Parts: sequence; C-alpha cells; structure tokens
Amino acid sequence: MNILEKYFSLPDFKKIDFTFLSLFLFLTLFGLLAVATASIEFSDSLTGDPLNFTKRQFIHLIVGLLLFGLFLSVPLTFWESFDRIFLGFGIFLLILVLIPGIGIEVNGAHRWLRIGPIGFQPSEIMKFITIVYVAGYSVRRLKDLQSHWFAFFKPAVLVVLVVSLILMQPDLGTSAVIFVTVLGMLFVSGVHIRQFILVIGLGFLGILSLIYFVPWRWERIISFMDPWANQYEGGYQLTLSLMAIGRGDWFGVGLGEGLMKLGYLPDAHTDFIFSIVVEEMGLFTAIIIIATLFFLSFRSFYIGRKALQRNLYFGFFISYGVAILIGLHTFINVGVAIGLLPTKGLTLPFISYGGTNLLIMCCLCALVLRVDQETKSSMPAINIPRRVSL
Amino acid sequence: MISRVTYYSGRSFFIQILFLLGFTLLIIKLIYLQVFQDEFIKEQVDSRTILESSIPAKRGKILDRNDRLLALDVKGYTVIADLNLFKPSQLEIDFLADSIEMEVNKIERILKKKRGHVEIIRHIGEGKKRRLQNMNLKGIFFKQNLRRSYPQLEISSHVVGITDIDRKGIQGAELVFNKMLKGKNGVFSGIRSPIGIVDGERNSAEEGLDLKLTIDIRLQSLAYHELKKAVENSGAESGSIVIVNPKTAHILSLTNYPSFNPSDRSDIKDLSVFRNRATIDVFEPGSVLKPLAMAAIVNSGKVDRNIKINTSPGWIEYGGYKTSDFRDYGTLGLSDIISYSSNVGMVMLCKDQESKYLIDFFSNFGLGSRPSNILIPSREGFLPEASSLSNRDKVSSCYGYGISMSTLQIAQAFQVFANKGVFKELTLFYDEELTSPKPDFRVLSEDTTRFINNMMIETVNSKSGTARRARIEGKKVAGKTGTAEKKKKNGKKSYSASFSGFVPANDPILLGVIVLHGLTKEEHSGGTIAAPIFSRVVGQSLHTLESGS
Repeated sequence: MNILEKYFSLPDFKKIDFTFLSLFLFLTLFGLLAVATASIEFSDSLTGDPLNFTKRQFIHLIVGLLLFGLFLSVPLTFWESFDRIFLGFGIFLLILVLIPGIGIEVNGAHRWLRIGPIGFQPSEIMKFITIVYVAGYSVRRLKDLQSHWFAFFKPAVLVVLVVSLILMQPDLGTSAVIFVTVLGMLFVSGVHIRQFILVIGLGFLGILSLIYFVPWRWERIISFMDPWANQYEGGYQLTLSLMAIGRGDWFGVGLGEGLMKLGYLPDAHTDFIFSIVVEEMGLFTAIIIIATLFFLSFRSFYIGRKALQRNLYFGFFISYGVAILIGLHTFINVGVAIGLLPTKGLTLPFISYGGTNLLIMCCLCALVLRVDQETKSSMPAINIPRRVSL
Repeated sequence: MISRVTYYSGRSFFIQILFLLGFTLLIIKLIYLQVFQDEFIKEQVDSRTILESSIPAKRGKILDRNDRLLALDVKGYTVIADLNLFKPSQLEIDFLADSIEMEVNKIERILKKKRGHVEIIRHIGEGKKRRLQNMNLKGIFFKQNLRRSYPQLEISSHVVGITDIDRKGIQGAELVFNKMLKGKNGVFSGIRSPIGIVDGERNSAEEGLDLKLTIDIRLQSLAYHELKKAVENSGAESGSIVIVNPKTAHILSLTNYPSFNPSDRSDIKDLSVFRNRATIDVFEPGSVLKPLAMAAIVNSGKVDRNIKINTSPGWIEYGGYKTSDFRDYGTLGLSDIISYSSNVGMVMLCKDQESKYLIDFFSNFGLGSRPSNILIPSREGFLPEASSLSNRDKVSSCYGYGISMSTLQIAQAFQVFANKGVFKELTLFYDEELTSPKPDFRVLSEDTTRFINNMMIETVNSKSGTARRARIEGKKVAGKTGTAEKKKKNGKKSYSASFSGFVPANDPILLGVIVLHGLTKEEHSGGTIAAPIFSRVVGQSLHTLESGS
C-alpha cells in the first residue's frame, strides 16, 4: 500500500460532529476578537501598530485551520504507529531549548526555539506529543497497566522526564498541566488505584516543594490569599485582574472600551485575556465562553466514550486526553484570573494570544474530530453495556 | 473486557464530575465577585484610576493708581518625581541638583521615600525647566503652577502684603481682599492609566479680580529711597512716610523702613520688618500735635486771636510739673507759639480749656480711633478719657504728650487742615465700593483752618520758624515739626523726629508726614531730620505729578 494512501484519507464531512466543530470555530473566532481588543495598547507600544498582534494571530489562525484540515485527514494509525518517534523528537526539542544560544531567553525563561522567522514553544508541542504517546502506550500495554505496576512506572518515568525538562525552562504551569493530563489518562486506563494514589502523592509533593523552595512562587501563593494587602507587589496582577472583572459588571463596559488593558494589567492579551473579556463584554459573555470551553471538553469526553464503544482504544484515550487538557487549561487560567488559584502563567485555550498554543489546540481538536470520524465509520461493537455494576 | 469498561466508565464519570465541579466553582466565584465584592472592587478601581487635580486660579493683580503692577501671578513649574520610574544614578542626581540649583543631599533626602510621587522643588522658571527637560530623565514630570510675584520688591511690601505658600493672602491688601483676589480654582477630573489620561473633564478656574490701590508707585518709590537714605544717615531705628492727597483722602504713598522683599522671605530673621509701622507703631507725637491744640484753643472762642503771651522766663510750673521751652522766647503771638514751637505758650493757653472739650476736639481729628477705612491692620493709639485727665495731663496733651498715635493718624489729622477743615477718611483702595468710609464732616470752620494754616506757613517760611528746612522751591509749604523724647530702658534718651505738612499751602495737592524713630545722635529734631526729607520727597513728588512722568 502506498504510504500516502495509508496515512492520508479525507474525512467524510457528512459524518462530522458539527457540535464539536462549531464550538471549536466559535472559540477560535471569538479568540481573534478578544486578542484584537486586548492587545491594542501592548501591540501599539511594542510595534507601533495597534493591530500588529491581531494580524499575527489571524495568520496563526489561518495556519491553525490548515493544520486542522490536514490532521483531520490523517488516520489515527499514523499517530499510533509513530508515537515513540514523536516523543523522542519532542524530548530532543526540549533539550535543545535549554541549550544556551539555541533556546531564546525571554525574561529569564528559555521557552522558545526559532527556525528562520518562525518562533515556537516546544513545551506547547509537547502537550500534543504527550497525549499521543500516552494514548499509544496505554493501548499497547493495556493489560499490563492493569496488572503490573512496572507498566505504569515506565510512562510515569518518561512523563517525569518531560515534565522536568519543562520545569527547567522554567514553566511550572505547563508542567503541571501535562502532568495532570497524563495522570488523568492513566487513571481511566485502569491502573491500580493504590499505585495511582502513590504517584499522585509524589507528584503533588514534588510540585509543592517546587513552589515552596522557589521564593517568588511562594510569594505568589501568599499574595493570592490576600491580594489587596500587597497590591503593589505580589498581588499586583491579580488585583488588576479583579478590577477589570469588577469594572465589567454583567454586560461589560463595551468592546474596545476597557481601561485595564491600557498599561495597567500585564499580560492582558495572553494569560489575563479573560479579565479583559469580562471588563469589555461582561460577566454574561464570560460565562458563555467558559461554558463553551467546558462544553468542548465534555463533547470530547463524549466522543471518547463513543470510540470506546467501538473498541477504538487509541481514539478513546486521545479524546480523553484532549478533554482533560482543555478543561484543565480553562479551569487554571480562569481560576487564576479570578483569584481562585495562585497566579500562574497559563493561556486560555483558543482565546489567548500565542501562535504555538493556538496551532496545537487546532491540531488536538482535529485529532478528536478524526476520532469521531473513525468511530462513525467503524463497525458497531456488539452489546457492550455503557455501565456495568460492580 | 467487561472489567475494563467498568474502569473506563466509572473513572471517566468521576473525572467528568470533577470537571463539572471545577466549572461550577468558577461560576460561583465569578458571581460572588460580581454580587458581593463589586462595591469594594469598584472603590479600588476608582482609587487607582480616577484623577482629580485642581487647576489653580490665577490670582488677581494688584495695581497702583496708574495701573502699574504691584503684584501679579507668574507661571512656573513644580518638579515631580515618580519614584517608581525615577531611578537616577549619582551623576544624574548631581546634574539635577545643578540645573535647579538645589543641594544634592536635600534631593537625596526627598528621594529616600519608597514609592509614589514626590515634589522635588516647588517653583522653577521656564529656563530651569528647559534645562531639566533636556536631560530627559525618566520619571520626572513638570506640573505647571502659578507663583505670586512682586515686581516692586520691598518698596510697597507693607501695603501690598504677601501670600503664603498656598497662595493665600496673609498680610496687607493681599490679606484684606484675599477672597476677591484669589478667584476660584478649577478642577480636572478624569480617568488615568499608566499610558496617560484616557478621558477627562475640565472645569476651568475663574481668575481672581484685580485690585487697584490709591498708591502711586512713583511717589512710593521716591519716598522709600529717601527714607532709606535718611534712616541710614541719621542712625534712626526706623521711619515711615505717608503721603496723601488731602482732597480725595487717597493715600499715595505709605512707606516704612526697614522693609522686606516679599518674593524672597527665606532669610528674614528679624520679624519686625514685616510690621507696617506707619499704621501699627504708635508713639507720643510731641509738638507736631500743636496745630491741633491751637485749633481747639482758637475754635473755643475763649482767646483773642491777637493776644500776646509772655513766655518768659522760658519755663512754667503748672499742675506740679515744670514745662520748658528750648530757650526764652519772650512775648509771643499765637502764630509765634506755633512757629517757635513754644511749650510754655501752649501750657498758658491750654490751662483755661476744659478737658472734655479738648479730648472731643482731638477725637474729631481721628485720634484714639482706628483708621478703619484703610482696612489693613492698624492701631487706634491712645487718647485719654476727659474725666481721668489731670490738669497736668491736660496741658501736656496740648504739646503732644500723654497721647499716642500712628504716623497714619497724624496724616489723617492734618488732612483736615489741608482740606479746608473737612474731615475725610483716608483710604488705600481706589474703588470706592470696596470701602465704607465715614461720611465727610466739617471739623473746623474754613476761617479757623486758614488761621491755623497761616501759622504753619510761618513755621516753614519765617526766618526763625522751626521747619525752615521743609521748604520746597517755588511752592509755599505749611507744616509743623515735632520732636518727642522717649526714655529707653537703659536710661539713654531716644527721640522721634517728625514733620507733617502740605503744599501748596493755600490749595494743597499733597500732604506728607515724615516720622523717624530711635534717634540717639546730636541731630534728632523734627526740624533738622524730618523737615528736609519732606522737602525732598514731597518736592520731587510734586514735580513728578506735575510733569506727569
């Protein structure tokens, strides 16, 4: 069989999950609008063109949609077959980014690689690769995972390696999201609950110690408890974020009328774009956006469950991984912006400015839709009950 | 197979429940923020974003009678440092100190504050501001403001007055008409952001109204410089000059020495320089009061105008007290008593007058009451009650002892002689609506006034008069000298020399009072010290008014 035939098949658009697709498209388009209004001042002061960031994000979106189409046309077997190669490639990139002179340093963090004019974040790509790898591994060692603790140990070590590399950038937010996503995927794969709790315990202990022994992280935690008490130091961003939300009321001050993006709130177009959305478009719009994001996550769970009913384990794990990633990302980002969680740099999926992030989200969504496609074109599995009592 | 599905559905259900919980948590917190913390957060927003700054109103100008500037507001700049942005190197601090002429350690002390905006210097001119601007220091801002400027410096400072650091009048006309001069501050209220002002509304300031004084700065300046010279040459402690137009009762000049520069008061240690001595320092006037007493005597009708009085042997004992003349003048007419300034003559004439009549008569000339129409701080001096007056007190009041008054009150009293016997209250303010003078009233008949004035003409113009040195070339001067003695604490004698007179005598344009205090040298009489000042100051003033320059 021709390789192209094997690894490229156009999807059947009639069978596409329109709910998932429209949620995805709505979020990306809304994201472009949000970036347009939130980045105006920052873009202007940095580049002299208030719409520079918007234009760039538009290009990201076009490329993202092209990738979306491409990944939708790639059979899942492709990913399932080469997942280990991708993982190796991903780890290679993560090491590359840490090498001085190759990785680009911004504000003391090494997060960027550059090929010609295009810069990208390996840690974002790693989200995709980790989900694909863990899904592939889980399928391969399904039996062992449920019986031998070593089967659980192997991916755990690899993930710890990946997470450690990302931590060295340093990027605690992304590390935590990847770590928890993998845990979630392994959890549904059926590992023993005792092993699982052990790993969770160790993981959280690790994260806690990382927070406690790095002074500025500890400071963030402290200031998150009472941001108003030190609003010019640790609580700076959070109080301004809360002010943006407070200014918004139910219906917002009007699109483009926001004040906090005018030099007040740092990262208004990236990690704190949610606050600007509330300020300008109000709490109602904001709740709709959160609900849409969670809806997308739940739709992904749903698609995963459908795949499981057809014994498509790889698709099942992929969908669950994406669902957990999107839901978690949303929860952490919004939680940080409203003071529910300590300040931690993490983007709001589809909405925040950022090329690699948007591209990866497009790819992941394409993956989920591909799962749906393959589920629908597979033979129905016979007589598998949806719930079984123990 | 079945067991697997069990894991999947049970655990996936658990995860989805967790997510639903997370979602709910977010919504609850958001609504909590909106419903319960909204007010608090909005207050915080306001405190960060609302900008309210007052726009200072331009204070009204103070002008002299010919609209020359005595006080005005000039634009300046306050230098403000935003300590969050301003992180100067030592070199930059040195440059800063140099360009605004401030001490380095003073600046460093100001910069020690941790954050926020601090004022480095209050008011610098356009030149210093430009120099500073050229240095392009990050975090340094300029706020335009207004400063009071007094172009006449120390010449008119007591009358014009001063303002404090908040531009509030605290002395002189600045104090009296503060409300009218200050205008109404405007306000700018807007919304600011770190990149600048986003939106705002401006309520413009209302400028204060101008105030016009009766002072003629040309005369004021003349008087000040002559007075300064005279005080320094004579060894006096202080001096005052008041020049008045007797017909309008406008004060054309009110000068004291020592004075002060109202624009630079930082180095003043002796606070007495702030005192407007001409209205506040009261003293026993001495012989300069004799024309008043003589007017009372003539006006009483008890004395024949052609009476001759023998003042030999040059002293008299009355009421248990001996009064002496400078020398034995022999037999004198009424006019001679004034021109020789004979104390003995005054005692002999006065002893037949009733106390009450005398005191009431003096009080009609403004003695013992505050010259309230000038509005600036003044004292009423001392005029005794008629009932408490002993015989000795009565006769000594006729040559100016036992009574105290200010320089301005002398001018007020002589205004009657220079205005055909009609009392008109002196004023400092050109616009009549601003003041409330007592209605004019006749104190002396024109005839009596002319009779007394002739005595004062003699005093200046006769060969033996005491005020010969008050003469002005080409004009007939009428006036009276005074030399009052004051014992100091250390037993040394100190004298006040005075002269009060007007010119031209038959139709006066100018009335001038010269007083010097604290004379201790040989030369200390009104005739030798004060009269020549009158001649120079009033003579030149007359010339200035006539030539119109």
